[in-house]
Amino acid sequence: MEKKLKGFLEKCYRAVLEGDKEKAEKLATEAVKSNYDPYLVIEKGLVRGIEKLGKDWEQGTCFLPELVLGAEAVKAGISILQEPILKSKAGKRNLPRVIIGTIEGDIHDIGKTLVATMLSANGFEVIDLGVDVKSENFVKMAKKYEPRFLCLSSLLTTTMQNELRVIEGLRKANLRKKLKIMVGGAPASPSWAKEIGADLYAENAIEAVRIAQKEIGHELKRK
Amino acid sequence: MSSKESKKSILELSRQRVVLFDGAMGTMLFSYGLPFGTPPELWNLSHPEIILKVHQEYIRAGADIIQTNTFGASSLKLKKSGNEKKMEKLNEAAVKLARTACPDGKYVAGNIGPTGEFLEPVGKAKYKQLKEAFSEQAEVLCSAGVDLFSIETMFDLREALAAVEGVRQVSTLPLFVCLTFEKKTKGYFTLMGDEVSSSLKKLEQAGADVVGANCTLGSKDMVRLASVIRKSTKLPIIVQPNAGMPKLVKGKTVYLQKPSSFASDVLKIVKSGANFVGGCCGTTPEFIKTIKKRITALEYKPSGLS
Repeated sequence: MEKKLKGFLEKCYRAVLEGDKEKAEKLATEAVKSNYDPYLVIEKGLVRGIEKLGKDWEQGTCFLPELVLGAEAVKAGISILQEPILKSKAGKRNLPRVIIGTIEGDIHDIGKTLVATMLSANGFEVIDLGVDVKSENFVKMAKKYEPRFLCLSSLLTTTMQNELRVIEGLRKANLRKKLKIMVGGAPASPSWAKEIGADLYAENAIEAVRIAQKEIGHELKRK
Repeated sequence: MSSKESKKSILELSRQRVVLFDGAMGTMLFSYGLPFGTPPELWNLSHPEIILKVHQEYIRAGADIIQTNTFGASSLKLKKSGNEKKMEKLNEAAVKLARTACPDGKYVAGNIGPTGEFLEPVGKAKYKQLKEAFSEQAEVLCSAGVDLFSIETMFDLREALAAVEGVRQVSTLPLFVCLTFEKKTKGYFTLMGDEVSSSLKKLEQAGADVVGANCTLGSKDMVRLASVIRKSTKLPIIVQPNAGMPKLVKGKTVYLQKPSSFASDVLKIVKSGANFVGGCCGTTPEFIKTIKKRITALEYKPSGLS
């Protein structure tokens, strides 16, 4: 890799670590003008930054503000870098789509939004249905958008049982086998996922990304 | 208790013995049929008899201080369910119910929880906006007749400071503040990354009389955190753990920790210097009763204040 490009990617990486959205946008614009490979800038620059923050967050050495601001910087950069991608042939490569929401009766927002942000910062197309999402609405949206993943968040043991209703609804609508269901939130567990017939369980936002990437079998990161 | 003791300041009392807060309100309300998704504060007006009953159960269990059912009754929090216009009525009704349940010699704490908004730059809320919402709620609680304020479950030091400053704008009553900490590899931190010692100092400077921690951690983890808190401040401290993590067993929410093991941990917390203890999520009057028994049996010597 030429030295100039390497330095540029390092700047993108730093902008994410610093949670500097404006800088990420400026760099993304510069990348488009200079005709740098947008995938390279996303993966070796921006996403590398959010991966580092994600690791630090899991280890407890960085906290929610750094993670959220870093993810915002990545998202801002990606949206600028995507323009040329969408115009090119490569743009035809569909981004893996995810539908996410907090289950009916539960208005907890933080964890769900963090998972949505991290997924979209890692190259997924995320449709966030918000909180207190009715079971029928999950099914309706899954029918409309045909996502690869449906992520259900619950923070209350009492309402998490509504997840079962979503899964039954998908089954009745013949959609169950067309997507993977991932559950998460404080009271969820691998055994809970198994009990209700979900496919996947993620302990936190970073693991959700890791698991989704593993499932689709192509790491967005080029090794 | 004599009427003389009833007038004694809660802070004065804590110099003589450990003072006991109540346990969970939400846990109790769910057991009495509060539908999920309904803000518990609405029951101050729609089901006052149940709120009163919960307070009375905690008083009978031996709590010295009961907390008003106003954790989510700031206008900013109520706005999320479209109930912000009821802010005054809900807070007034809550104090009235707690006062009715509170005999002489016991105390009513005006309870204040987070607004649910994130401050800039993570969220959109401004410091001044939070401070005003807290101040407004505190003013209602204060004129309705609380004896002290208890700010709880703050996951962002800045929001906790906004609450302390907001309360201090309208009242000089004793002010308790609990942050909620997670256990990380490098120690205990709030969700926003605030560390214990410097956070408690800032709360003290802002006007808190008692500082400490509640929620998030079960009693075992709280034992260790309590000693960290004790070393961090000269103020009296308060610690209120959860009854472990809830588990779903055959469609029902169950807290697996038993009152006796919880009380043993609380006793360790007292021995490491806590002046005020109580229970957070999952605790019931049974927990408070068990703590009360064990504390009474303990020959208590105030620490950190001598």
